[in-house]
Amino acid sequence: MSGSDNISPTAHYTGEVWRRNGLSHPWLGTAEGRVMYDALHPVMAASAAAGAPSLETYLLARHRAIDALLQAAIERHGVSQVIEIAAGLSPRGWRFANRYGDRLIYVEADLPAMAARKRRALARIGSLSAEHRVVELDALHAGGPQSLEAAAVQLDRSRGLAIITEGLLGYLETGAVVDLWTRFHDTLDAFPTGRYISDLHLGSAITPAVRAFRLLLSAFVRGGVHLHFHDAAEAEDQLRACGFATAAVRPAGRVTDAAQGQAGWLANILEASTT
Amino acid sequence: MITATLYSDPACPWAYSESPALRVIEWRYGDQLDWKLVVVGLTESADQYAARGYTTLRGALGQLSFRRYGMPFSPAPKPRLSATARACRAVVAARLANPGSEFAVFRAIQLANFTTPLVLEDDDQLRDALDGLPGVDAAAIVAALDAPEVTEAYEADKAATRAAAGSAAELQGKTATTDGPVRFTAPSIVFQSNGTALVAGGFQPVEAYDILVANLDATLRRAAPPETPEPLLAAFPGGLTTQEVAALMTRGNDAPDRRAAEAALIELVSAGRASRLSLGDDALWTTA
Repeated sequence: MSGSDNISPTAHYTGEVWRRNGLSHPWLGTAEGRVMYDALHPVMAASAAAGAPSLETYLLARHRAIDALLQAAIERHGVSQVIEIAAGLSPRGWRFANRYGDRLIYVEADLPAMAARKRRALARIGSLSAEHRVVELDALHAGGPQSLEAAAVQLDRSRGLAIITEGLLGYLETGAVVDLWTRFHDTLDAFPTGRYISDLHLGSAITPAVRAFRLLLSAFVRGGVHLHFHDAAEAEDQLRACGFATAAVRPAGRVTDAAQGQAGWLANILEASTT
Repeated sequence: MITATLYSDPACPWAYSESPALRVIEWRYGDQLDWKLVVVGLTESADQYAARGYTTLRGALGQLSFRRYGMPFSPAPKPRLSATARACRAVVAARLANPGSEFAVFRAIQLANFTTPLVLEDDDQLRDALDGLPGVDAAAIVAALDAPEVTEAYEADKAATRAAAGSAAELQGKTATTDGPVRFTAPSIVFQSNGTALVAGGFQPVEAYDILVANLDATLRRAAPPETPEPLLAAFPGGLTTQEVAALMTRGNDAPDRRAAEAALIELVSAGRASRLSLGDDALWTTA
């Protein structure tokens, strides 16, 4: 696949993590991701050997937890449309499109370079369809052709909608996160069921191990990982202040009840609903 | 990154019969191979076939000799002879409209051509063959068949195909000169990396492709065959034929075990995890 311009290293790496762990399609990786994965593998292996959480296990824990919440939203809470913002090379759209077929509309959204790359890969796989599409979207644009609002207009207002972000919030300042959540609420509120699912970094419980992990994560994303809220209660309050009727922030390990080691407790997952 | 340029034509039975080997290479190396599909454009007019003494009966009988390679066939004489140009243009139009979708369009035309009475140069039938293909606007593709940009890209493909003189494919007798220049026969693959180009001309066993790829880059990851067909059906949402699944489940250079593959597929259908669509004398298997 060509066209790696303007695609972040994290997108390449996380794509490879998903693929190496059996979550992705053989064609949803990149050469850059493979190089990064191989380069970081000794560090990850050393972390694992020392019983410490690794970036890889953290990424897997949050991905699986979001999967689980989205599956529940579809099967138990009336969601049949999904917009995944900053989807990158995430295989979730492909897997959910495969699993639910024409019962689910799955819109993958990202900046133009990544959107083009993803669109080509999904077309090659044969996964693009009226139900599974890729759109260009800048999460920070409020209104306009590449905005969430423009993507949502294309959806069926009589069916439930979920918005997913994974690995996006950590890049943003708190003010931008609050603005985003407010826009997410306003968009979801136009649908009979509206759910927002994402990962979130919390400031509480900064143990030495967590501090070391954050340093690794910050180095990886080539910038600070923003901590917007001290704890789950503060984040939940903010989600409700943004208009959501209910909000819960839990460790990924509690969402999936799976043995995910320490990583399952470092990755926090939020779920907010408009109803 | 290795670029794999596949020179092919949807009407060529050799290219069609290569499908199991291509699926294996796709599975093994995933996105480490950047595939490009270049159409050969075997014929512009049905008269070219008639002039060679080709008939619809001969076409149907010819399919019998390809059964040994395992792809589905429905050997009955077509209503009339047909050139391949319109079908090739459809592949090119798909590539221009939605890069990546040309592979699905190519496959859909292949399957329809070899298992139904489809006449390739009948635009209505071509549209029907593509109708319902996920992510493909069949009507728009057929409407664009004669568009200038499609013609330009199609002619570029034909010219690229007809530049095989002096290649390893010619050395192996895997080229043709049916319309003048030395051209690649379908299917031919040119693997390129870091200035090195290795040619697999014409029909080849999967082992030939594998050796070329491995020699271009010994650091690649190589996916093993899965234990059951289920991951394969997920990876190829457009469906797989029985022989393709058998090839994909084969270890090393063993012979594919078609019976075992079909048994495993039937078990998946029984469990509600796969679907079987009858296709010619075989089936297309998909996730349920």
